Amino acid sequence: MAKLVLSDIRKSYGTFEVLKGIDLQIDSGELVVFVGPSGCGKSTLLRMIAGLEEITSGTLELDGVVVNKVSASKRGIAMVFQSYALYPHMTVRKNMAFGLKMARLPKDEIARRVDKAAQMLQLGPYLDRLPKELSGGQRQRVAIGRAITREPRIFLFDEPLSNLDAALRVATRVEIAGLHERLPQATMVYVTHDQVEAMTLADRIVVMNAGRVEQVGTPMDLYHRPANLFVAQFVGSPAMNIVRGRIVDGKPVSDPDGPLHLGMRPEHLVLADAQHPAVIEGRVLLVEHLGEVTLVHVKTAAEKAVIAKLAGDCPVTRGSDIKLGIAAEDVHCFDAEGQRLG
Amino acid sequence: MTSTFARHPGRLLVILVLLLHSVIVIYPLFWMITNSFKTTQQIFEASWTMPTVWVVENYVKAWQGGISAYFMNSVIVTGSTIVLTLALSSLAAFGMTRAEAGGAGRAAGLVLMACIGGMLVAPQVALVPLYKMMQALHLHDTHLALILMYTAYRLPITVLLIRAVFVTVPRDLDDSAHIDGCTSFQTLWHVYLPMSRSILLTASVLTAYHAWNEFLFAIIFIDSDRLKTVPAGLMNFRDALMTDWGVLVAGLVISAAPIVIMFILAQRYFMSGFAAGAVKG
Repeated sequence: MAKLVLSDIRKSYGTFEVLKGIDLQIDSGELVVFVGPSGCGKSTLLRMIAGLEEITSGTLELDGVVVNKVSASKRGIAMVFQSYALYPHMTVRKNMAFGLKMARLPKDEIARRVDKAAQMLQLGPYLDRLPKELSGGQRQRVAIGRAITREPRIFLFDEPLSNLDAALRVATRVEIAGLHERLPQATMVYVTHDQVEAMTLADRIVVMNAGRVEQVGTPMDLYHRPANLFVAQFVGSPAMNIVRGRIVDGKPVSDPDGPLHLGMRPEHLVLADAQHPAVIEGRVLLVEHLGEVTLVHVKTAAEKAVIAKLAGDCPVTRGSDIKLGIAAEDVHCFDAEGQRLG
Repeated sequence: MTSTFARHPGRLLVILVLLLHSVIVIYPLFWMITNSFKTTQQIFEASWTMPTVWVVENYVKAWQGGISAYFMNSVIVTGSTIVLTLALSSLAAFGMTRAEAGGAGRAAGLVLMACIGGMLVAPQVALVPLYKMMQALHLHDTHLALILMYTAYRLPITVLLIRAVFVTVPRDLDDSAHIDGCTSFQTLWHVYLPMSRSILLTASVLTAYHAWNEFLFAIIFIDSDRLKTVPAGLMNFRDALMTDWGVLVAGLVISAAPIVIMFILAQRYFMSGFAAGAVKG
């Protein structure tokens, strides 16, 4: 399908700069997820790729051709919206065929594409229904089907699961993952603020913050080697614990006046023992038994509460003193500016 | 039913008031229809009773006596006014709805204020300048004079009604239509207008009601008898000495019938469209 190259892309509304120079390359057939907190500019960037927002400066190349000034309908993209954006007065069939009709494709070609997409997404029984007669999940499948019928060079997804309840979200996520498998040549760009969606769907994740790209990498890269404190705390749930400290003889030592930030994922913390000397000491503020695991919130002397994800049957009680340890190789070190060391 | 009124005694009062109002509205129509089948003598002898002999010839005489021509003139003027009013209102409302912040947004705000201001100006106030204007444009004594003025006076309310519905159309649909290859006009045509059928029908009924029944402009801006609309033309049925009241009332029924029928047919859409236009936005 298509290769997408973004070079120093900027977007300003008046004097307010929303995107501050985005450089990114998305290869053909990749599923790339833009993830970041609300207001970080991820949806704006997606809309600029779609051609729905003007690019203030920088270049956007599709297969080597600069498309900054090319209209949305001529870019060969299809977009799935959070709100589905189905035309409420048209049946499912007409919704899926509308873009093709506007492109003046022959009727038999339109029918072939609609039937193919309907078959792929099991939408056959709903083709003559109006969107209001469908459930949220079915509507989103129609929106995806509409995108498929366009046979686009790039699929764009703008938080497509946000309006669905938890069960439907999982089902539709699996649907999108399946779509990516069935269309291996399709380049897909997916925007979400949900890191589970990002981690499960993405070939690569682009973590954005305040109009900048913080890190680009595979989900496991981001998890195991976050480039800075923002990514470290954004990826993973519960978020990575950050404490001040230093490294002494190759071992992390918690120290409120230490020069480093030590990152410790809750799932890597264990009750201190001979193999895992105590790094964090404090009092248990709260114990959350989730069955499979237990989340223990620990108040330390100088830092904010630390969260440890311990075994489900861990015998920890609220108000008791606790010592937590961690394997040295599981500690992430960041300098005073928050950049990764090593 | 009894228990409902016992629990909500206010409802009985409301229903009684509505019934009284219905009688006030329906009885004149009923009177007009029954008397349209009487001779002038019967009308003066027993105007409150049902006809003893149904004089259908009143309708034939009225139709052949000139109502047919007036009727067609009214159809032309009303139909053209509806088409022009809806076309201009939809375009204006669409532009106002999609105007972004900045210059376009401020311009849309000004148009909105002009619409509200336009509703406050009574037609009589502008009669003399309009008369001069139509003469200067050589439009006096033409259907176009009526069509333009009726359209101008209906635009403010229809723009406001249609805009109130357009602002509820999600912007994602614009984006979706844009990606599907629609121009702005095609987005209006394929997305906004089909989604706004109720309010368009409501605006049509309101415009038709105004254009069909308008009397003042119709007698001032049209002199030729062959161009007169029904309300102005009916004046010719009156004679200082020998008015045939049966024929005149039959003419009145013919004049009122299209709007009543239109309202009955469009009632369902009219109510929902008016509610949408009144509440949303």
